[in-house]
Amino acid sequence: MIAPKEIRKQGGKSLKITWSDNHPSEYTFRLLRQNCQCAMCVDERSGAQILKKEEVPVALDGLQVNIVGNYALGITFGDGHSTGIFVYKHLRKICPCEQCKAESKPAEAKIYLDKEDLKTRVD
Amino acid sequence: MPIEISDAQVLEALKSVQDPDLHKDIVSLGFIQNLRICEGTVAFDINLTTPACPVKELLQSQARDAVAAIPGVEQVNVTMKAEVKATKGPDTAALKGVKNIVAIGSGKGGVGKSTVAANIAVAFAMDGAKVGLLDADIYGPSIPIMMGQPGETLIRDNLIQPKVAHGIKFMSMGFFAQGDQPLIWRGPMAHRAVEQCLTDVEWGDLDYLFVDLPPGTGDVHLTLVQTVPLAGAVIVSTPQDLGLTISKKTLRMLQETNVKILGIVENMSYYLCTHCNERENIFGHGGAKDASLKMGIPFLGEIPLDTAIRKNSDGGAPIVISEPKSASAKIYRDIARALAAQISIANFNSVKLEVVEEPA
Repeated sequence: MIAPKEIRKQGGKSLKITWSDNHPSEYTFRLLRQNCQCAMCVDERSGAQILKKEEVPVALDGLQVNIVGNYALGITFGDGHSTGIFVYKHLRKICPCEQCKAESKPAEAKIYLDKEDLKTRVD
Repeated sequence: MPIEISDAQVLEALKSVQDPDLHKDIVSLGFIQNLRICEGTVAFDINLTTPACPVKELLQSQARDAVAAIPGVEQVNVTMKAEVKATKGPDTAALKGVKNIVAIGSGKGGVGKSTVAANIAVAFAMDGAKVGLLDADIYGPSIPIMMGQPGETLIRDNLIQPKVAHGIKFMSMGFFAQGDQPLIWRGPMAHRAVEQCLTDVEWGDLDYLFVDLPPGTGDVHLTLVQTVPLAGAVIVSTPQDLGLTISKKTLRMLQETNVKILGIVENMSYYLCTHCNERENIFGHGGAKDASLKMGIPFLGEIPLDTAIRKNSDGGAPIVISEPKSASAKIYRDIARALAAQISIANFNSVKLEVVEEPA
């Protein structure tokens, strides 16, 4: 499973992750806030987006980043939102670098059951 | 005039001894401590990563032989010690004295998960490790029965005091309810209770804390994987269960949350007839072993259906300690050591992760 090797919170503005395959990702906290997968931001059953991404303030700080178990990050944002769990796999998927953007990705996958990935890992 | 023996000579000789699990020699691994040479006598300690090391005796004799082969050495004194390494994960203020948290799960209920958990925990303690056992099964907490019921739960300095029996500390969800009262909890209550058992219990210094999970993949599992960095998890299965792929679900859930699967234990593997000693494979045989091979997960061992295991569990003393010479006790001890080796390997290969704060 993909996991970070290094996590750096650069002030309140951005988060830098170096992954186990050495790929570097840098996220603004605004981008992270926009991609929050918690039940308040994304409908649990339908997967429909509830949070209006464009309404996230342009300058949004990250107050705190903590590691959740072995598989995710918890982030407290400047707007007080802190219920999201950012699974590593999802974080990697939303890497905003040119290379990752180019490898066009299908619409947001369900975090807990990505069958393709499971298959390759279990079989 | 006796031949001079140097430290370098001894270390060179010891480099020929390999740890079969970590695939490195015991000198490079930093196991050798306290080297003392006095004329023909060489003494040193081998500090292993777990007291339940399955190859302890082997390493000791190999090291002794290697050093004894040096010209001039007349006597070799090897002391075996152990210092359990901690899971490298984020520091959680709570549980800071606990080095490794190991979850024990299963796909469905009734596979003997708690019996396996209790016996493995006690087996680790018998090898000299400091062990805790948390019974997180809210639906059928059975550890109090297996460990014996030692009275009221005490609270000191706002911390719940774990019970102590058979050399281990333990705590159970069963202590939250009186007698035969069930715990009728929705998710958030279960979540809070598990959190409390992890953070509000005075576990103190532990080498290993085993968590006996409820069957399946529910609230308790999620809370556990989100609250603490697990060293890994063990899946208990019957031969039939894995054939039916139920355990695989628990396994996948753990993999999804990046929990290392330390191994699979096959319980109720076979029945040894008490009359004719014939082996009867009631639930089929080898299901778990085949599945573990296919998935590349260590197979830790198979435990027979043995009336003595059940009787001792019901009587409040796991078989490893109540009938230590029995065949089943021996099997549990071996499984515990195989697991200890896997935990050490996992810790050896993992890197510590933390969030580094940088000024903007």
